Amino acid sequence: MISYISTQSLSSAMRQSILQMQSQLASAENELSTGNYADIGQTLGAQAGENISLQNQISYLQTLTNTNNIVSTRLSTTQNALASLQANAQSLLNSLIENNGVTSNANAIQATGVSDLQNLISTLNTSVNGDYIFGGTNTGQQPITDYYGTPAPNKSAVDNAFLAAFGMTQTSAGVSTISGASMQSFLDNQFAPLFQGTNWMADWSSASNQTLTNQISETETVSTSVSANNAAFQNLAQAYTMLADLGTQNLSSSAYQAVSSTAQGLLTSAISSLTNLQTNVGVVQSSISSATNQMSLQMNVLSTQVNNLESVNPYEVSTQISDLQTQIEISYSLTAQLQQLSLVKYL
Amino acid sequence: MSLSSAALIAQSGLNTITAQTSVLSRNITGANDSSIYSLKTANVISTPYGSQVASITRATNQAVFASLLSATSANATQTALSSGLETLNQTIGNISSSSSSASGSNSTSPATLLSNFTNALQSYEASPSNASLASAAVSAASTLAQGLNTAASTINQVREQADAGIATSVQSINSLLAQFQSVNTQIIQGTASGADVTDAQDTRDNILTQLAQQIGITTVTNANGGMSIYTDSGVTLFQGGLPRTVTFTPTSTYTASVTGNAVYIDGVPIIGPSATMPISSGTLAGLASLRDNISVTYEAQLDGMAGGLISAFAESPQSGSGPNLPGLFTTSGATSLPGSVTGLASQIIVNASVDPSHGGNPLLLRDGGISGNSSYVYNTAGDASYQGRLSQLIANLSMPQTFSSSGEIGTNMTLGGYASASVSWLEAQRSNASSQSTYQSTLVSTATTALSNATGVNLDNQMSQMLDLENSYSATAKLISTIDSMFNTLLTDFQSMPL
Repeated sequence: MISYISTQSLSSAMRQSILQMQSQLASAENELSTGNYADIGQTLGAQAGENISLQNQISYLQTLTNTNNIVSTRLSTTQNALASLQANAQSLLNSLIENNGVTSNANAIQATGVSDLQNLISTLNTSVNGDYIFGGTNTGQQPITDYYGTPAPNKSAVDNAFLAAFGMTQTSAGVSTISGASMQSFLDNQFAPLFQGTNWMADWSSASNQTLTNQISETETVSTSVSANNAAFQNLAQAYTMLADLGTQNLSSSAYQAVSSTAQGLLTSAISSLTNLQTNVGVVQSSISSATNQMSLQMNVLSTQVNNLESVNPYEVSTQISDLQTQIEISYSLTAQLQQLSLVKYL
Repeated sequence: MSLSSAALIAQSGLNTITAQTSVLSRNITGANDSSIYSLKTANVISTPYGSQVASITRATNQAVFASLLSATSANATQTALSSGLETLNQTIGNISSSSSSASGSNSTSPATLLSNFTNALQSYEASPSNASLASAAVSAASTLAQGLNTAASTINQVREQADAGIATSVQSINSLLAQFQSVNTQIIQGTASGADVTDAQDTRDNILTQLAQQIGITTVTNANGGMSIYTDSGVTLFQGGLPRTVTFTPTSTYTASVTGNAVYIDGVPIIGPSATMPISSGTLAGLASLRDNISVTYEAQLDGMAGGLISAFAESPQSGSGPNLPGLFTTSGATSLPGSVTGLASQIIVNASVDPSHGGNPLLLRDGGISGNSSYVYNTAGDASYQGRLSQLIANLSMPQTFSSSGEIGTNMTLGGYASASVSWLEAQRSNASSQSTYQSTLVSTATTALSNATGVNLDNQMSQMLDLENSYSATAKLISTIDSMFNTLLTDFQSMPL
């Protein structure tokens, strides 16, 4: 029990409490206007790192979402390219089946072969933002050499093989003398290897076998491109080239029959490979979109957590402010009254 | 009993009342003294020959005063720590999430800068052929390196300021001890001769509170009125009327490898790593803890991060054999990986051969060979979208690393985890110092109030005493005038008497 109080502590008590309340008022006003603690780091203390980690995770997920958008563009371009290649191959296959090795339509088929080959090459050389999407990791270089360009090592290789096998060029009128059996043997033994292995890499493609991989969520990494070295494209190139550039207009019926049936086989297998590729790309596309959705949900949850850490309860703060205001007003009037309360006034 | 002795007694009464009034007016003047003024009381004794003021005493309360001293010291420690930690907090900045976008933080902490850099690297890995993303990743890397540099220099600044603060504190301790000596001598002499030493005692108490600001002390009062002072760790500061010399050699420039000097009292180190009797409170203790513990630990954490970055980005030979060489992150002029992490935070830079602002090629981030040695090139095929190295770097960043235990926040964790643990550590220190500081300042104000109530002046009380004195004075004056008139009567009667 205090029975004696010094004049100084009587007045300084009020002074100190007013100072304290004013600084509390200032920080409460700040909190009410920003909705966050006035000094988040100090309030959170050891939890501050958690707050930073959560924010970092949100921005990481945002980065992955952004890169997923870029990857999606590449994949949908790839998907379109594959679909158009498949459609072309299918329509050529249909014509071949309809004509069933009859030489009368050989000119039309040859022309289609040329345009399909050109289309294949330009499609495989598609670029998105300057990146050749079928180039594997070597996206800086056109993956497929133009068959009709100069120089065209792929065309020279075909020409040389033909010359070596039959002793004449494809345009020579003598091609009509080639028998079905020797044409079949040429197609199987000399022509086919030009589209495989090291010959393919040397004459046709500068693409890398290594496809691009991307991290699409915190845990998933998927392959997100198709290389021009895929067997489907090699088969297509082989089928188109044999129809376009083996002098099919002038071949004997049996030799033409050999070319047509070999091309049909290659196209069938290429179409089924293309379907597989399209399915694979589609699977990746759907996992990207579900990963992106998942991450957006995750970001919402994380933002809520960050909010929980940083935010003040506005009701609590505004109550605090009005309490403080009342208290400060009382202190002011008390100070004024205490000033009157002195014996000196009555002497 | 004669009339003249009655006059003498009345006279002594007047003297006593005047003396009491003089004490009273001293009290009234001191009522609102912000330094220590204790209530003085005139002790009046009555004798057969009148009354007199035998002595003047002051109100004291040793226990409350001792608790004020210790609260003052503890508060000074926390204030010093708190203000240093505020400066260190600049390395972290505002950790609130930015209101403008849903992601990312405004903070300048290494943790946030590291996360920004990781994200830039991740974006670049998704499109390795994109040179502008490469530049963005490198520029995020140099922001991170500069962030570490700035943080390290802030730490050194805090240590330099603490060191300068210690020097100032030592100076003021020495000057306070000199003042104390003269006042103490005055009190001993005054006590021996019976003079009024109460004002000198107030002055001595004031000096003690100022001393307690600087260094935690305990005091012992001797029989002769003199006082001895010891530090809270038991080292003698003042004894036998003689102050001990406090010495300190300041260090003007701090780097991670510099250790601050100790403060010595008579050759006994009381702060610093070598202290045998370390003091636990006062500004001196707070500054020492800031300079020798907190800053050093925080610096060790930043050095650990810098070392972790350099090793995560180190390049290994892709053909032939050789040592790993520094890659994206290095120190100026380094030709090999650093052996120790000490001081790396202040030295870490982005390798000039990658940094476009120094004429470097940011694409080396994808290709490797940053050290300039062609057998360290990873992208030997020169593929524009070569991802192998970037994926490896991202994997390295998320791999747990080993950190020195002097960082005090764990030794085996990922770089990102370590960086946020460091933020937690610093904010926890700051939060703790701030709540301690609030608590201690409440204690100081409680102790001040208690002391003021125990020994201070109440004006109303003094005023009512003044009324009493006024009444006594007029009564005594009346007495004297009565005695005077009695003398007059006596003398007049004698004159009129026929001889």
